[in-house]
Amino acid sequence: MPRTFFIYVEEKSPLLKLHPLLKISSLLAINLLAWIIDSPVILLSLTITLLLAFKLFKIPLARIRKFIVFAILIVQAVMLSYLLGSTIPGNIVFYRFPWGAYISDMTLVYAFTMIMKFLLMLWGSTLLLAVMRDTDIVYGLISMKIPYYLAFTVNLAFRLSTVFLEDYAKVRDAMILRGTSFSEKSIVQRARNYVRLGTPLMVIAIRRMFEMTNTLIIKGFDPSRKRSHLYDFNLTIRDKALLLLISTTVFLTFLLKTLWGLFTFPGWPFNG
Amino acid sequence: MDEPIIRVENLWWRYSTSKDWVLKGVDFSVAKGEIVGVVGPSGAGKTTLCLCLAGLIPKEIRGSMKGRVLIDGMDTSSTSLTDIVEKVGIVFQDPETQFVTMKVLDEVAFPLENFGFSKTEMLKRIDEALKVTRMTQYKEKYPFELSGGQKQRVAIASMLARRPEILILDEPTSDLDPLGKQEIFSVLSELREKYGVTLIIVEHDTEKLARYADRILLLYDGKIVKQEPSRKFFKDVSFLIEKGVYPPQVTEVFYKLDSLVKLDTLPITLEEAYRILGRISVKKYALPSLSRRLEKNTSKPLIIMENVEYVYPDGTKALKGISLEVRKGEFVAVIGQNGSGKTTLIKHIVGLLKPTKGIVKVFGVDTRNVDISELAWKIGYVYQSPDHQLFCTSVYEECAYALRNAGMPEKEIRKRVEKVLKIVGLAGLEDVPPYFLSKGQRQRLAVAAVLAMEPEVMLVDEPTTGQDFAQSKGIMELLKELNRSGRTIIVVTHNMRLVAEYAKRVIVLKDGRVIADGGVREVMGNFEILKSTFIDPPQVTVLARKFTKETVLTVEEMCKILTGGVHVDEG
Amino acid sequence: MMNVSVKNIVVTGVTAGLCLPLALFAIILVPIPGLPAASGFWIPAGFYFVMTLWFGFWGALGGHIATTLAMGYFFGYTLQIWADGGLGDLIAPLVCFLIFKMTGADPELKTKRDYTIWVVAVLASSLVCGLWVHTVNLLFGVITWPFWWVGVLTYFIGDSLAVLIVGTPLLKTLTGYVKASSMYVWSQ
Repeated sequence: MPRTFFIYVEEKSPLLKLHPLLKISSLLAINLLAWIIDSPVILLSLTITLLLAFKLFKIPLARIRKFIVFAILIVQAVMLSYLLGSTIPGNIVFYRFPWGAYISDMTLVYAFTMIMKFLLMLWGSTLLLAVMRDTDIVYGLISMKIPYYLAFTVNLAFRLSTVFLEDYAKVRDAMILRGTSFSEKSIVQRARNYVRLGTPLMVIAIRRMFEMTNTLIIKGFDPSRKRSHLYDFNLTIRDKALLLLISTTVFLTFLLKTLWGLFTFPGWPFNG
Repeated sequence: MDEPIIRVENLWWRYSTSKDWVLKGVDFSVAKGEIVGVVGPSGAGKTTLCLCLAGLIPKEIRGSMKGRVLIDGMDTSSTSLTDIVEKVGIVFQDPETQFVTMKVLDEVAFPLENFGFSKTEMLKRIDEALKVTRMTQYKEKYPFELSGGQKQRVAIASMLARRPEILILDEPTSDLDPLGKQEIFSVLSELREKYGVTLIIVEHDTEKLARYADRILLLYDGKIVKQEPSRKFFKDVSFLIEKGVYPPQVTEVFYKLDSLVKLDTLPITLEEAYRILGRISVKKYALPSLSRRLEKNTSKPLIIMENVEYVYPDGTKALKGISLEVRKGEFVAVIGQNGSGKTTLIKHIVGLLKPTKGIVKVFGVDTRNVDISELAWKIGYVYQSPDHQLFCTSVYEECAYALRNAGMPEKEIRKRVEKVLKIVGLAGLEDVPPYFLSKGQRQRLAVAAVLAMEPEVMLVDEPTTGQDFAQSKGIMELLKELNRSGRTIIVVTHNMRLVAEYAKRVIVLKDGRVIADGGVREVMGNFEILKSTFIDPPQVTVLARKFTKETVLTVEEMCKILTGGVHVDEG
Repeated sequence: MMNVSVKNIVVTGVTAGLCLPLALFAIILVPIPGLPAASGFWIPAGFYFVMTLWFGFWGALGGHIATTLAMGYFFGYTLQIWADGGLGDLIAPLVCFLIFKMTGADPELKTKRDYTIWVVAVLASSLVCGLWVHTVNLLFGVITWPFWWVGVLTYFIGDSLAVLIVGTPLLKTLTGYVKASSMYVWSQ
């Protein structure tokens, strides 16, 4: 099963084969649409469509269940913020707080709308993460003509994060074997124990910097020099058409909202 | 006569941070297509020499240089690094830091992309390089899916794809298991045979160098003190040992028997030793003086594993029904290929892992019911890499760390720390931060830090990795002394020579199972079992099998056998 | 066009690789209810602040990449996430670096003056960053005004504590070791 960004996905998902630039563009487009559109009904429809897309594109929902926890966190964060701290006028006021904020019917609607925005962005990210390999992110950045050396640093980050994770586990185990308890009652002592982990990790990181620099130089890596690529980042006609469709959708949505006031919610305080 | 492809002329080098010169007038040349081995004790300057040959010194690394290095006529001080690296590739010791991309295919393509090769040419060279290194079927794999040996082969493939004329390998096999080592050397010899690549190999394993290198240089304290064709290099054994280099065992044996058998040249490989043996007839008789047969140990077992199985969260079944006991005073070596379950086994003993099935009892207590940090006072575990277990600001604090955690009085701490630092030879360095020590010193500090806890059992994981033979022997001698003073020692190692010299009992693991467990003589003599896990017994053991059923473990025993009734056939 | 060397890229990549798992832990270990993608003790800050003081902009860039990747992993790769935490964690260590540069303080913290500047620099950068992050959150509508103050205060406290607690021993013990290398930005 191919390994995507922390998730394994069935080989038959058609989204897997999508050009990396299209995956990143789709991600950006969903984000932008989520911010442009203020209509709760449309946002809800889009969110439900995205969830259905998981089924359509053969991505097992079970694989993304841990993200449900974070979705819940976002929901509670937004709800708390709006319920306790907003003054959105509405038809009915349910409760007034001593500090001036109040809960009205529109508070609930606006809070719901904001939640839909975030869920749309979250599910969009999750859908694309499920079909995006670490290499896609790097290739996607390259095909966006971002300087190679920047894309390469992201590559190094992915490459080294798993290595450092192993280092962290080894250092932690070594400390436990020398009598350190990471479940100390005292928060100060717990903090000290975790801080102590920092020194060996940093020493290992610095040593790796020196060794890796030598390795890269020997492999001919030079940020100032033009390089070739093994992979074709050329877009097919189909890719170009999809890209055009994505960008046109975003542009048109923005235009329709700005010029004709579509996709807004009357009385919405955060227009544009 | 062809110009040498490498010429080093009176090379001196000093790092900007050091007072002393690291290389002191190094002078040698290398012919095209030659395989040159470089040996020497740790700290001799071998890695520095490699960096000089690759042009990284002086271009990328700060310091002072005298003399010059010519690579195919180009002076490394005045030629651009880009031009140098087109001719020279270098493979370092750590396979992890050399893998800079996220897939094998990308890794081999990376240098070709850097040099602007066309896609067609890239694909051709990648195929070629993967074929030579036998990594074709792994090309879509991620680095975490590969073993250390596989990663090193990818590092070699990545260099090879550029078709460098010179390939430098700085201790390429020190982190690898025997199979990994064998794979690397087999690839290297093919490189020279088929592609005419000039190879410079820094290596502590003289048996491998003896077999593959045309010529060997001995670097000692920054100077080349000996450079000869391989055959002649090992002639003066005592000189080599004095300089911290141990020759192949077969060479040592016949050096010591020089008074009995006059030889023009000492053998450096098993095959040569066999030929010489053919000229000597040896009376067969029993050798009651051969020691270290496993004596019956009637003490209570300290460690009991009963039918232990372990499955990692990703589904890998690492242990498949391990049952064994370790008793007080034993000196046990655990051997096996990488992935055989050695580290998983060790982690169960110290309580870091709990079995999925079965029981692990340590000092009579089920490890599932005991706190790991409590257990650590009874079983000390020394990791393979010292950097993962040094987390204090000074040598003293490192040794005192566990003792302070236990709330010991300062006076007792001082006493213990002074004692252990003396034992490991680090007395006088109490105030030095650990990361300023050499690797060998850091390894000894790691041992001291655990020793300060005075555990009854010491578990040491690969203590000889990256160490020269003299240092490795030093650590084993230390463990032997600890064993003599009553401690139980369990060592995980790939060094069969040291296992044969020091261990009393050997446990062989393969695919998560114990396939052999017995006295060192018994296990080392079972060639079939060892072969099934790609482990080679020590050279003397294999050599002795030619004429005796006895399992000979050391050079000394071999000499005893051969001097006890040797008739030299002068015909 | 900035002159970028291999060393710069390695510093960024290694910093990002080191801080990414730390950031993931920090979000899981000390979440703040009411503030998505936030952590009450931002452990990686201690590391990338120190990396920035040793290696300059490239250390900060590494922290930025790690933060964006980590926060996005839990809460989506959204513009809001990049703009608040991602950019904030690029700005904060650079503010600290600038203060050190302007005052000539030694990252090895040899004198009382160095220590004082270190503490002031950390507090100042955490405040600047807290203001940035929660103003962005406000503009995106994640939080409302009363929570803006809460956000700024918790960010200021959480980040300052993390940087001072984690970063101070790292600077004290390892700056001497790093100074010997050609990557150390103050010796160039």
